[in-house]
Amino acid sequence: MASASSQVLWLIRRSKLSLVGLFIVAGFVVTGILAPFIVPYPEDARGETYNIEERFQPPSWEHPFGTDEYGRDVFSRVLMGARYSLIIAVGVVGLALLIGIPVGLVAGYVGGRVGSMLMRVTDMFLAFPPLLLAIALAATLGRGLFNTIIALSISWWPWYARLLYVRVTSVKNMPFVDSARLLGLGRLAIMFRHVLPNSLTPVTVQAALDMGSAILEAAGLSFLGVGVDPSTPEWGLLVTEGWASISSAWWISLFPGLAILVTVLGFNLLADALRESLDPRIRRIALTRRILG
Amino acid sequence: MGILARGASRTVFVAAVALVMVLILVAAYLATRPSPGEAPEESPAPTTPAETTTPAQTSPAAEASPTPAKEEKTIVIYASLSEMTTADPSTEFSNSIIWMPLVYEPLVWYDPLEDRLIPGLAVEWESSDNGTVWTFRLRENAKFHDGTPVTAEAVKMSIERTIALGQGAAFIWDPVDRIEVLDDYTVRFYLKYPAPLAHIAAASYGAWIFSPNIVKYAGASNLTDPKVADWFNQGNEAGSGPYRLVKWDPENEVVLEKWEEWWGWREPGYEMASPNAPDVFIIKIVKDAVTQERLLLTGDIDIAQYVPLENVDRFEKDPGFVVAVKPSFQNLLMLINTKKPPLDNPLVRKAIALAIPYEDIVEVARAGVARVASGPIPHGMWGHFEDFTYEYNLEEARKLLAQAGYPDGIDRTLLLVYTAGDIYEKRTAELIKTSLAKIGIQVEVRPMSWEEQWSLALSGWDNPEAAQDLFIFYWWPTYITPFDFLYNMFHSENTLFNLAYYQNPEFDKLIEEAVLYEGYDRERALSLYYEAQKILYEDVPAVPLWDSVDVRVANARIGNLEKAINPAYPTTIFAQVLSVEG
Repeated sequence: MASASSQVLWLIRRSKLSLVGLFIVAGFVVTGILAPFIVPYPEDARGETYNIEERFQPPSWEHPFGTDEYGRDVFSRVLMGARYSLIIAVGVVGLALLIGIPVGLVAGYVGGRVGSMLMRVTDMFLAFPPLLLAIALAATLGRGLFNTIIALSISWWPWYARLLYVRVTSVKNMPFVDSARLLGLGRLAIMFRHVLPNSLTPVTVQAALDMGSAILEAAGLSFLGVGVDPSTPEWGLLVTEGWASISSAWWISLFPGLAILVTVLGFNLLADALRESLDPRIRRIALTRRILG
Repeated sequence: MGILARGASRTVFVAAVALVMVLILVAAYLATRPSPGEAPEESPAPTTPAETTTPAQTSPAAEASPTPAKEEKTIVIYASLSEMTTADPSTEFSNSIIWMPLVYEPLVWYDPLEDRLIPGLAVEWESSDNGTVWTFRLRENAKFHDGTPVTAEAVKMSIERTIALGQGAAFIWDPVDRIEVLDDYTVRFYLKYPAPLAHIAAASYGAWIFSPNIVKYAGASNLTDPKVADWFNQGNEAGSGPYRLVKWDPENEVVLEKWEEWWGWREPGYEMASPNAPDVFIIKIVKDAVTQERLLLTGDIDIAQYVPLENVDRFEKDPGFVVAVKPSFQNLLMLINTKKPPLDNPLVRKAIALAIPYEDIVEVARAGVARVASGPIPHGMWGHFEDFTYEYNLEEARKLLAQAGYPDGIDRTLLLVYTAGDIYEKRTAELIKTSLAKIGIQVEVRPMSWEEQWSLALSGWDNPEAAQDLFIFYWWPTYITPFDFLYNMFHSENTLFNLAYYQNPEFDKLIEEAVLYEGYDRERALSLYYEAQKILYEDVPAVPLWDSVDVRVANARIGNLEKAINPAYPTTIFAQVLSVEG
């Protein structure tokens, strides 16, 4: 724990940008969790109402992001959208880790025929361009939040499997693993207690980085019409919906678009800093520089 | 450390993508204001005549005309939302209707708003024997583009080819038993049963007359040889109309050129011709309304098929543009699965009909550019009656639902399907969902591709439980008759489009009888159609939602725009009646 907080401190010292990233991500997560309780117009956010008189209102104090073609408050819908993006980001990366980690771990540790078979399967998935594969899967599975998450994680897990595999193959030959084996520990115990914790770093960094990409790709799927259900206030969908009236009511598409931009940027800034802090080489160079002055 | 490089470049990439998205949004907004010198991104290859054309007509479009122009040619560019389909006048049953009525002529044209037939290739026609024998007298000065005269023999051959191929709209000729050539310019049809053949001959599909030489041109053995269709689809035509097809690029543009030898240009007082018709008429495919609007504002096109409906009033106020608003015979209905409980109970269906906010739907989905439907036959068409609109009354709807045994609403979520990508349907669906929730009916809205949607619906005939509950659906007629609507969507034998799975022998009998009177006793037919629609109103196999109104926006130099639109030939702009300032 102490090392974690010292790392965060180090991060902040190292670059102001990572602090910005941290703020954005924290804000996004809090908004995502609290959205249903803090939106000014909960019914608008859930899409349960419409208001003929309030249609296409430009941004004002009452509606900071204006209103859409149904007279719903865009601000509320964008806030609520954070929740869906959060679910998607966590869901996609979580599910992909859930598949990728066991595959990479077993393939790397067991090796041999089982290992190469698992890795060939992984390579097969890697052969497809990820977004294309996700579009094809999403189109086959049909619309819906859950289906979108599945489609994206299936195109995602091979990256984690491969990353972990490479790491595990080198870690399993390290002396501490040998000593664990000599102590008579079982295979599973060695794999999960010794190999896995020592191989997880690159995957963790990658996972943090991918949160942003998952949001972006989910928005892309919705924009193309194969993502979440049409009445969901998902950001990509909000951008698409506003498209039809972009020439007279730009705010309907602009604000959800900005939300995507800012959130994805936040995740990337944060992940970059995280990667640097966990990469001993960069850290050493930075430290040397600071010492040398 | 591959991750390092990948991570860093990915950050840049993601940020760049996001930035580009925002820039596109801003650009799209700014671009709707006229800005000279801006190149439209949708433009096809730079060698097309459309590209070299400016609305000011300062440069003669040399490529568009094979012969040297004696003076500057007038060019009009019309943006179409959809790609062209086929070019065979016998079988085409889709988007090519946008140009076929300019290149080909039927025996008769029909103006449905005045319920009046207009002479085409035929000058006179009469029916006898209770509408079972029809005689058409042809004009003697009409020629096909290849120079051969339009004779009774050519008419017989054209219609017989369409019937023999049996595709597309060939079914309109079902009543025809045989066709007889009386002399060079007189043709007689003998029917199996009474039918309004003059109206059928004015159909929007399958009624075109073409040159008998096509077999020779195509190097085919006979009229139904697939080589003939291939010849058409390579961009050839054999019509007799005011324009010739000079360029056929179905995915990008179709170029039509005025044919000076058309009989109509010289016929004094002929209503389907204008002395200032454009010399070149280009149909350019521009696939979304926002882009069409932008191109119209920058002057890259002259007529837009669609602009975002919310912006129509902006164009109406702008003296630089003209807006033509005409009824269209396309309507939107919601078909109810009458075989799946609890929707098999007419009380539940009636409750649904009363819980739909029709006025609001027209306002939100169509920005007010439509009319609340009254029965399945659209406004302006014969057979339409004003007393079939459902009242929006939640109290009454709840009462009916309680009476049907569902005082607390329905305990399962109904599935409503619509065609993905259609924003009018989407907005309609959204409002229906919101409103039905108010009487305790939960609806799941699901967009599907048309093929998916249709195959799911077709499966409902065998297994109604597995099919959708509610189906949002457009209909428009092939030729203008109430029978087209009533038979296709509600007759028990039509398993292709009766997707409410409605079966009512009494209704079937009424419309089968009505159609026989159409040809010679319109009053009788009307009263039978009224009875039939009354049954539908009570039974509610479908809820008619709105009747579409067509809006075309054009540059102010385009005169007679309103006259050039005829709801019997949807999407067509009759260029021959336009009056264009040079």
